[in-house]
Amino acid sequence: MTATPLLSFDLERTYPAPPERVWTAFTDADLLRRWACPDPTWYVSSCEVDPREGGGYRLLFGPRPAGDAYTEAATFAVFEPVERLVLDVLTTADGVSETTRCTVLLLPEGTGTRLELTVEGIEDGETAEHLRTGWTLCLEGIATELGTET
Amino acid sequence: MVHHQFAALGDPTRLAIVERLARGPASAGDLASPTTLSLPAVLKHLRVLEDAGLVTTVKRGRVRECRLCDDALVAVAEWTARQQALWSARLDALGTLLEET
Repeated sequence: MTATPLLSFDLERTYPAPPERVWTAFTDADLLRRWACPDPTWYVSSCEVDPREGGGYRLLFGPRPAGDAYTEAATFAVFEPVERLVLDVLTTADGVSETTRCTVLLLPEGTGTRLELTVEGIEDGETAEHLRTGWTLCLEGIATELGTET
Repeated sequence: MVHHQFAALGDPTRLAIVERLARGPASAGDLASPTTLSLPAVLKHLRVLEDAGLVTTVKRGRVRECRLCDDALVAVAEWTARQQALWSARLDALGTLLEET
């Protein structure tokens, strides 16, 4: 679809850390869970990451104590370490279902990183299907891994 | 509803119609004349905008008057504000994390 100012916005930050570390913060579950839910009255009760193209992350977060009112499932539509990450994000809660596409660009700047984020609102149908497919594969992958360990 | 609105606004012609109506009501003919679109094509786009709750049209004699709904873009604005607040807070928290570790 055509991106317009009404349907998307950009954010930018500069961090005093190299792109490798910023990339890891998006793709390592222990790090991701520490910044994904900045509201101190909420917390992340579960965080899984499958760090590869077609993989994604799955976060459960919400108000304490349960911390599971919201599910955020993202598929990594583009996974180019440590430069570009495109996420199709499906957020669901009671009666709420919202799909966004987030594009994260990491640009080296001196010893730090400039992060450029674009968030677009997108239509449900096709992307939701894409997300479901991605997550089925991801969960199958986890199941296989668990199976071989036991 | 917001997804219907995104879909409706995702088309450049319909976005142009909404931008024009933001300046005041217009007839379907007025909307068609500065473009290469036929009147039936404009009416088709108007129908999509009506279904999305963005535009209302009233037939006055032989003219169909179109106007933007009062709260047309509220859902879109709310979506943007909510998403912007979320990601802004996240990126700040990410900055704090990168400084700490």
